[in-house]
Amino acid sequence: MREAQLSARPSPVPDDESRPFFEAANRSELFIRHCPACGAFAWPTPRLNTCQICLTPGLEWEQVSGRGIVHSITRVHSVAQDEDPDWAPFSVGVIELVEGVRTSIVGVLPSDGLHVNVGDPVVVVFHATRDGQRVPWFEATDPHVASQKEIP
Amino acid sequence: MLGGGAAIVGLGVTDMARRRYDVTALDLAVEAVKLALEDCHLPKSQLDGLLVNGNMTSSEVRNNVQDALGLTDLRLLNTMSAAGATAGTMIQYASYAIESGAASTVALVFADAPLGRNTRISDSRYGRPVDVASGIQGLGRTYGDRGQAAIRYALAASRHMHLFGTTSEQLGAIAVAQRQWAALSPWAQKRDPITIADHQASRLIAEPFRLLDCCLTSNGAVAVIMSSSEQARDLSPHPVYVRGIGQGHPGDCRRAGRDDEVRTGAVMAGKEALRQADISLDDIDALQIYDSFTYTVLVTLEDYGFCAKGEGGPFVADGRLGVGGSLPCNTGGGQLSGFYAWGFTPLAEGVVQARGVAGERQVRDCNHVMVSGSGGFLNYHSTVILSSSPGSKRAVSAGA
Repeated sequence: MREAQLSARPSPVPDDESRPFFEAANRSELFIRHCPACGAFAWPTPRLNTCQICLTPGLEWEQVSGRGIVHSITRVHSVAQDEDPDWAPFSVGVIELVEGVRTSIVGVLPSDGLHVNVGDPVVVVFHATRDGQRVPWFEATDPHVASQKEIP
Repeated sequence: MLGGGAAIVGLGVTDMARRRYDVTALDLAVEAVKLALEDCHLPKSQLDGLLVNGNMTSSEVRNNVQDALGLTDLRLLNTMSAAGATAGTMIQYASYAIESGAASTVALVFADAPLGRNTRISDSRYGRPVDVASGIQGLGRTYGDRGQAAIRYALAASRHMHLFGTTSEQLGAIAVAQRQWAALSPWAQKRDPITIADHQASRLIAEPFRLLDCCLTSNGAVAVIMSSSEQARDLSPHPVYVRGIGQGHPGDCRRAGRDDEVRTGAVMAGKEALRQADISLDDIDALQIYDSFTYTVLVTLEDYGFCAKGEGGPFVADGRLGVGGSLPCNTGGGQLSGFYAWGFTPLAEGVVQARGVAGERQVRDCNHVMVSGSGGFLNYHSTVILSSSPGSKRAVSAGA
C-alpha cells in the first residue's frame, strides 16, 4: 500500500481516555493497558479501566513490543459510502501480540505487494493520517517468509 | 406446576416475499401478533405476557409494542437482547414464566423495517457506517472498519480456513442448499436456483465471503404465542412443544490461546438443549440454524457435533443440507435466501416443520427440530428443540 493513501485516511480524534495511546503513536510507540496488580495486558476497551482478569481498577498504560502473529485476517472489497472507493481492497485483522493478548480489529498492510496470512509474524508500524495523527498498522516482519501468494 | 412444559400455539409471519415500505416496524409488530392470535383463535385480551426482541434499527419497537397492541394489565413484559440468540432466550423466559404460573399466554415478537423506499440495502441502517471518530474506536474509520458484520464473520471464517483448510466452495454449498429450499417457500425473498459457480462468481465482500455468503435484509415481523403444554392441546390442532433450551456464551477477553471464532457457544447450548429433551443428534429430523453468513451454519454444525471439529467443509459439500439431502437444514431458505428476522427466521420455520404444514418443503416424519440462534459475532448462542410430541416431562433438573 502506498503511504500516500494512508496519509489520506481520516484521523482518529484522541479523547481524554485514549490520549496516552495516541501521544505514544505519534512517538511511534505502541501503548496498551496494563494491570499493576496482576500484570495482565489488555488491548484498550473504551470506558473500561478495570482489569478483566483480576477485576482490580486502575489500569495503566504501558509500552509493548508491537510484535505478534496474525490471528485472523480479511481483505475487504468495499468501503463505506462516505469513503474513497480507491481504498479497496484493504486488509484488516486481529493480531496476537507476544504479550499474550489480541488486538481489536486493526489495519494490516501488504508487504512488497504480497498478502499477509494467518500465522504470519508481524510488527507494528506507524503512519501519519489526514490531520497528522500517527496510527499503528501491522506488517509482516519478513515478507519473503510470510508471503504465500501474490496479490492479483 | 413446575416442569410441565410450554408450547407454541400460534405463529404469525408478515408477507416476507414482498418488499414492504408502507409500514413501520411497529405496524409490522402489531400485524404479526394479530396473525399469531388469529392462528390460534385467541382474542388479544387473553394475552397476559409480551416479550419483544430488541433490534438494532427500530427503537420504537423496544418500548411501545404493548400500547400499540392495546394490551392492558400484562403480568409479564420485557424487551430482551442477546442479539441473534434472543429468540431462544425469549422462548426460555416465556417457558419458565408459564411453567411457574407467572403468566399463561405470552406473545413473543420480532419486528424491523430497516429498508426505505428507493434505497439500496447497503443504504439501509445495516449498511450505514458506524461513525465514531473520537477515542480508541476512532481507529476503525482510519482502517476502513466501520463496524461491518461481514468483516467480523470473515475474520472468523479466515481462522477456520487456516486451521482446517475449509474452502469458499464449501461455504458456497450451504448457500446453494438453502436456495433449493427457498425455491419451495412462499415466504422466501430469493427463489431463483443458484449453483456453486454462481456463488463463486458473486462479488467479493470481505474474503472469504462473497455476496451469496451473506444474509438478506427484510422489512417484516414474526410473532409466536406460547401457552402451557396442557392448554396447548385445546388452543391448537398442532401444538409445537418446547422440549429443550440451552444457552452458551463463551466470552471474549481477547486472550491468547482461545479459539472462539471456530468453537462457539453452540457446544454448550446444544448439549444442554439435547439433555433437556432427552434425545440425541440422531433424533433430529430438521435443522434451523442461524445463518448470518454461510460460515455461521458450518461452525454451528460442527459445534453441535453433527461432524468433527474442522470437518464442516467436506461435511456440507456433498449437498446433504439441501432438498432430498440426509440433513435438511434451513428449510425455508434461512436468512440467506428466505428472510431476515434474526432468530425468528429459524424459529418460524421450525414451528412450521414441527407442525407438519410446510407443504412442498415439508420434511417427512418431522418429529424433532433443532433451532439455533447466534448473536454478536459468534459471541452468544441459544438452542431450542421443538417437537410435535410433548414427550415425557422436560428434564429440568441440573446435571441429570
